[in-house]
Amino acid sequence: MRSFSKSLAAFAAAICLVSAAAQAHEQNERAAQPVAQTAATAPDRYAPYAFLIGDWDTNVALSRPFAIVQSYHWGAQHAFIEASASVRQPGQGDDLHFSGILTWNQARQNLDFLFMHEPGTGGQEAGIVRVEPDGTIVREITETTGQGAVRHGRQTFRRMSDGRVVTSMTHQNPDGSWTPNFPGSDNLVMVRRAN
Amino acid sequence: MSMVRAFSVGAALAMLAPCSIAAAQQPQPTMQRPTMVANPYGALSFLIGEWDTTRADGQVFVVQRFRWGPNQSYVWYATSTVNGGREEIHFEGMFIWNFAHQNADFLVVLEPGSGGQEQGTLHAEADGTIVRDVLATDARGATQTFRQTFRRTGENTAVTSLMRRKADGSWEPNFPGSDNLIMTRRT
Repeated sequence: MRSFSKSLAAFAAAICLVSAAAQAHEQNERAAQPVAQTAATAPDRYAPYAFLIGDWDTNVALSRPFAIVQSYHWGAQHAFIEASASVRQPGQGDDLHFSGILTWNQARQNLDFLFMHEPGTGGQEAGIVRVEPDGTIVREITETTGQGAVRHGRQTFRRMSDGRVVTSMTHQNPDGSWTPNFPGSDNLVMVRRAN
Repeated sequence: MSMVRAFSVGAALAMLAPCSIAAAQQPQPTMQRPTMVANPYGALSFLIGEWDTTRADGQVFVVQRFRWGPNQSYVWYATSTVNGGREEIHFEGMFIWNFAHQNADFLVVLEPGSGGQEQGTLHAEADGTIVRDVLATDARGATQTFRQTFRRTGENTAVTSLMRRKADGSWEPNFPGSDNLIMTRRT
């Protein structure tokens, strides 16, 4: 944990895009509640999302079966989550589908994320991740393709009592309704990989 | 670079895509093939590498790193400060081209552990200057607008400026001299 003085020094020296104006604005509050203390006493913003940390396998039993491998791991100092998903087809290696980061946004009280989508295609996904009152994690997605097309999608993660997770992957139709991305994608079981 | 992915992989990826356009058009397992695109980063590509910025006494006090992600699909972007010879991460994250907006979006964690973040865009001006427009959010939820520019001055040199927007809309350096910092690429 950083000390207050160290934090101030870092703020002042840094290439730092942390604003001296904002510091000044908040200086009185910070004097009463130093940054280090604030960090120590603040609730763990990532706690509702922590059950996702790990590597997860999902088998998709379509006519051409494949597996989805999702990985969520802590970044430095648990300050963000690194995410990736790959597709594995029988007899083949993992093929990266997306990778990116999720990080807390204190102003909006959710996670923001930015993912590269299918390397080399020019695609990206951006949006927010939030928690429903029942603990379900919802990832609200704006996807932009390499052709500049924009669509909205949603992925949810619901923790089950046996430790598995049910995920759904849907996209929004032009009429505003939602449709599974593929048959059964609204109810896929994620099994944590033993490490 | 191949313009089209192998069919089998493309089909599987189209199925997985959380909101893939291919899936939206054909929700069944599809014949859609993700189309590969040329690297869109253009003028931003010169940033790839490691860059030092020194103080007047010659000591490095800022290190900026830019490295490609897979297939040059994004850029991992990290900045460290150097205090007493020890590097400390100031921020790290990534930027990714957005073909709808024709710029790059970025998201970085600001001082890991502090609860802060920055997000925004990067674009290239007509003269090649790269502009990073920043919205910073701190651990209290306060937001502030910044701007960083990168102007290439040689194969391995650039000038960066770090500015913040004042309440009246004008801009000022983040700290004395931050509007004209020399970056030298590590070789």
